[in-house]
Amino acid sequence: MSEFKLQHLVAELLKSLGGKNPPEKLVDTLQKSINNSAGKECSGSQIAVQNYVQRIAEDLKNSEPFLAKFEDLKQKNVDCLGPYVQLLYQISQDPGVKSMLYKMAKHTASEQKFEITRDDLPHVKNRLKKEALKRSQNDSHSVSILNVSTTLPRATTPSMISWVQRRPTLSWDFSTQSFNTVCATVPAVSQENILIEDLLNVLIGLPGCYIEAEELNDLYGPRTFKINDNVPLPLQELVRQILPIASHYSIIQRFTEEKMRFEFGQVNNALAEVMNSILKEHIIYITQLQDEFLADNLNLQKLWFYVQKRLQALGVTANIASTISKSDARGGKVLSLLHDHIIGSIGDERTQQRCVSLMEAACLPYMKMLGMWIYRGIISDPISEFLVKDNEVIQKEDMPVDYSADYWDKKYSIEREKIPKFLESVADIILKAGKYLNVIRQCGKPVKNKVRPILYKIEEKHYIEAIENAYKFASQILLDLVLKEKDLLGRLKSVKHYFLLDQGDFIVTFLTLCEKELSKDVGDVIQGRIESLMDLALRLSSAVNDRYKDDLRTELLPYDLQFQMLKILTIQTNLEQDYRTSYDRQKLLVIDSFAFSYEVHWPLSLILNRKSLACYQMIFRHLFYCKYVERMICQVWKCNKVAKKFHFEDAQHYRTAFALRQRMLHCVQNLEYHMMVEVIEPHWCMFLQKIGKVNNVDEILACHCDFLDSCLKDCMLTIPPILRTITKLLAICVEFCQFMQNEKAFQDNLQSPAAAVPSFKEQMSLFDVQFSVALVNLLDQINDLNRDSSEHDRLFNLLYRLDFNSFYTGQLLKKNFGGLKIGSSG
Amino acid sequence: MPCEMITLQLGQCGNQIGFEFWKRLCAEHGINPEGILEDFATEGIDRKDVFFYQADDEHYIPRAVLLDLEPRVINTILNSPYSKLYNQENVFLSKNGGGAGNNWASGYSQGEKLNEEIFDIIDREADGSDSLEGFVLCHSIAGGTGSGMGSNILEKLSDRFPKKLVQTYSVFPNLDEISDVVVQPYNSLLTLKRLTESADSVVVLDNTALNRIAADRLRIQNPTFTQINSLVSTIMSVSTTTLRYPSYMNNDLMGLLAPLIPTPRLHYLMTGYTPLSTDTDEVNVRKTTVLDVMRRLLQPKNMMVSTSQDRNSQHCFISILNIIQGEVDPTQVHKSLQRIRERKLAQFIPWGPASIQVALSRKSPYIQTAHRVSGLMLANHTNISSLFDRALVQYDKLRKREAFLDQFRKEEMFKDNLDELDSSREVVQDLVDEYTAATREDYCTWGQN
Repeated sequence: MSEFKLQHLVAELLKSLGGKNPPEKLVDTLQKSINNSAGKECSGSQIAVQNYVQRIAEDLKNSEPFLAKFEDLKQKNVDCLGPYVQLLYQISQDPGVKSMLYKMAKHTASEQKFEITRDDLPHVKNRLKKEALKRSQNDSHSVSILNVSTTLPRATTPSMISWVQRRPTLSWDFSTQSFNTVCATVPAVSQENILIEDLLNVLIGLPGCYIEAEELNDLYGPRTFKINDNVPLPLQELVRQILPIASHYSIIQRFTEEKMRFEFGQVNNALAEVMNSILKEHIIYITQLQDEFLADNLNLQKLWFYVQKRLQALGVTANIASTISKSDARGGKVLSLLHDHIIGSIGDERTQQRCVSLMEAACLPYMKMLGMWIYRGIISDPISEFLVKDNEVIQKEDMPVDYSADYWDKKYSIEREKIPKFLESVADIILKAGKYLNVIRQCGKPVKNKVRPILYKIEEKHYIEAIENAYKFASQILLDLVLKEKDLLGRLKSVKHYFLLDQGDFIVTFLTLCEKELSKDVGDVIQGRIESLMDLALRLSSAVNDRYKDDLRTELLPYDLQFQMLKILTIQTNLEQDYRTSYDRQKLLVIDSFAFSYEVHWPLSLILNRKSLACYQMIFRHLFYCKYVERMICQVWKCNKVAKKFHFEDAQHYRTAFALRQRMLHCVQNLEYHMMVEVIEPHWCMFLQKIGKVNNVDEILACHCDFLDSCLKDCMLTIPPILRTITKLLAICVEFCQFMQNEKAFQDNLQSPAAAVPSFKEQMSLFDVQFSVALVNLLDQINDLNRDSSEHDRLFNLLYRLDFNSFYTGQLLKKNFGGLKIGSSG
Repeated sequence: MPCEMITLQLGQCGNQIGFEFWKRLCAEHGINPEGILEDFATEGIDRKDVFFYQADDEHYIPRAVLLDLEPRVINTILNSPYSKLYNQENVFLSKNGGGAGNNWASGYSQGEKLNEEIFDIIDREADGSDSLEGFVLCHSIAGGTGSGMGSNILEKLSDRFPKKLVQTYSVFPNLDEISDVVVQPYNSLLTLKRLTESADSVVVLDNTALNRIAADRLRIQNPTFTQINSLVSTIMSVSTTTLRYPSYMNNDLMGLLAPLIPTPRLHYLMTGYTPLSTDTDEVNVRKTTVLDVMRRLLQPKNMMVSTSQDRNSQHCFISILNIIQGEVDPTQVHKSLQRIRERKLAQFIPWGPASIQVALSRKSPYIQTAHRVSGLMLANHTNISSLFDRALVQYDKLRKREAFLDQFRKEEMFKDNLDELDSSREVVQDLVDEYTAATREDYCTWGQN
């Protein structure tokens, strides 16, 4: 089940129960338990279910309606009946849940009751009127369709008029209109011959004289017959023994006549056809008996002897027909039911054989669809019987231009209820096989796979093997295409150079070239200029050796990283609104809004999809900003180098500033080291290792997602308070650098720092306090993370790095920055 | 292309270590002695353009300027297989060819006279690069040309290129043996003043320590210049690997030096390297781990600077950068750092955060080494001041006797008085004081009322 569906269901449940817990938590725990129990089958076996039913029934005072309902549902082969009963049982066993539900029910009932006051009466009346009107309309509508089968065909499929239903006399089944044939009283001796003639008629659905077909109570149920009272009892008994054949004939005939219509799907059509041929056989057989009869070789006993064999054969078929009709099955479900019958008839070879032959015939269209899908990736499924559904979210033509991550997940999906039971275990690889072939086709490559017929066999699981082979073939081809021909790893490496800054000289070059642009306001800058500077940087640095460098683009996003991250992280929580509203767009600098983007082509866009590119961008923006700040601090360092020529006394005043600058640089560089060397690179190596072992593209996708997620997490982007502190730290550094640069200009003009010293000193101690508070805050926040799980292990490394010589823990505690921290945390 | 470095080789010593340096860079980048890329090296992702530029005919030319006042060493270079590597216009030999006679003052004043010609070369070279990051100067501080002319060029460089970085690889004289240069203490002191005031970072290569390492670690009893110089070239090349093989961090000289040098005057760096090539016999017994490398780098015996071992002193590291090459797992690095921290293997300054920064760098794929992991340490240690202390003591000894000052008085600078010597002494003394102050907690406010 998809996460969103689960989330939705949980939210609904909570709403109806008036729960106050946030749904996310529940979803989380649910998902974990689902994952844990994924291996285990739920105990929905027949016996267990029966057991539950019995126990529930025992607890009930009036168990009749419950049992009746259960039987009814069971007859219809409703999905999930077993688990549902289990749930009921568990609720009935749990007094807590029971009482709560009871309370809820009472609550809602009373609510409804008390809601109606005198003032509401007209309103209620109106509503009732409307409802009544609607109801009557519906009724008339259903009348107008005129006892069409209970299932309406899908709106999209053209329907054919069911002539059999409209003109009942056209049916080969017994007509319901009674012909008032007068049955003269005949002597008992002659009665046998008349009865034989009657029987021979009744057995092929024609009305008889003494035997009369009764009206059906159940459209899909067996037919009952009335034998004229004048017939002596012994004969009646004999006739009664033979009559079930007529009933079977009737069921099968009704089935074929209904299921022949194409809106019931190819599987039903095929099954109806094979049943029709069984009926033909039957008719021929009866005709032969008629010959016998005319040749005066037949009496009732003989007839009974001859038809006994037919009874069993038709019985099986009729049974299947009525099960299918009752559960209104189509496509995969029909096959599942047939499969059940085959499994159920183990030991009875003849029955099984008959079931298998029906199955083989019914399978043909389905297996053909399956073949087209797994060998060619084509769905030819007009009545939507196949287990894979083409959701047609995106047309092929739009693909390279406007591609979203949805495609891979949403374009094709499995419809669980349509899977034939015997294919359940391979459903996922069926989906993947066709999906992969589709990707290959969309790359403009022909799929040269030979379509082999797949047959259903009971013993040999030959079809499973065929599916597995087809899947292996498809996944291998796509894997080769993606990894070898399209050089996925090369691409990813190239993306890593730019987004994860692993080719530092390019970033240095780019920063050097863009220095002025980056500090401008977004509105004042031309993106084309940045783009051309980026091009220049690509050609000047070692990136020039990268084959894919030309796919790099620039992008100016309308929000800064912190806002973006917080927006993502607060989705579906109450804080979401706060962030949205509290964000007023102050002036956004280019450095805040800048990001690279990357042009990806099909089919690599499957892996480098929008979502993962966005993740890359987020990491990039964070790293890039750190680099930018580092560079700023280094620039200050470079300007400060003139101080070594200052006279000894003059130089002293700047030492506090230099020490602070050093602390900032130390902090920023260690942050960078942590993110780049301790997080990204190890995760990348792990990712490469995993990629070496994958079997299909889905696994690549999963690995890649994992890689990005763990990078985001360990770069502290997903922990809002820490991200906020780091952003603040960096902002203080920027402010400090700007101050120092201005100071330098100022002091160049004056040549004597003495005048500026007091204010400079004050300013420095202000920066010092700000920075120390923020940094100690960061150390505290990392320290406070949950140490029990291994989730944040890497982050603790950062603690050591930032405070290797215990400067902050020792020195700052001495100066009592702890007290300051509390004061400024608000 | 950004971050280019121009190398200036001065005097006998400077040209010799420069020669070894270029030999090594060529080998690492797969460039043959004629400057042509080897066939196996065409796919490289290294950055050759930091130290080389490409001539019109695809030759790789070092951004090097060779300067000397006497022709001996440069002629050796020009007669070697590498003669075609260099741009002949960048080789500058004084016309009189007499050398500086191991006299700082003579070297300085000759430098002053030849100033224009020399800076013609340097300017041309600087103009030829897209965004010059700085200069690397190789010289010794004891002789005449390297120290004297070097000092002159240093002063001029920082005037002419105030925005560029000047890094020097300065060879300090061997104090264990009696020098044939009697005025060496004067030369050293006068050069130290310029190194303090005009260079941005000085990598100290102490001949005393180099000889000791050659003897103890490499088991060479009387090491030749070539052997010592190959040690030096290793240090020079490894300390620039992060520039030449770009990775996540430390991709420009500024980013490399800024964290090492918190305050502008304290810019003298010590180096250490391990494992040295003949350590192989011992090392092969066991696997070299990152911890091994990082621990050994902290041992004084692996330092390329011989400092006095005063156990009671408060001397400490101001900053450390370890450049680790080879197959390294970052978690190992982290564990090693933790171990070093627990065992307090390194003392750090008390006035600010300091830690062992690690730069993981790639190795040249074209040079096979026996070691899985190797490391270079660049460290800013307050103990370097003991070197200056020694220089001061030796200077004071000579100065008290007014010995050998005649040669200096012959030159313009010292004709009237010896103020220059006094001011140099003052600068070096201040430097020693500042280093001592840096061991204390109140360094930031030290010297203020």
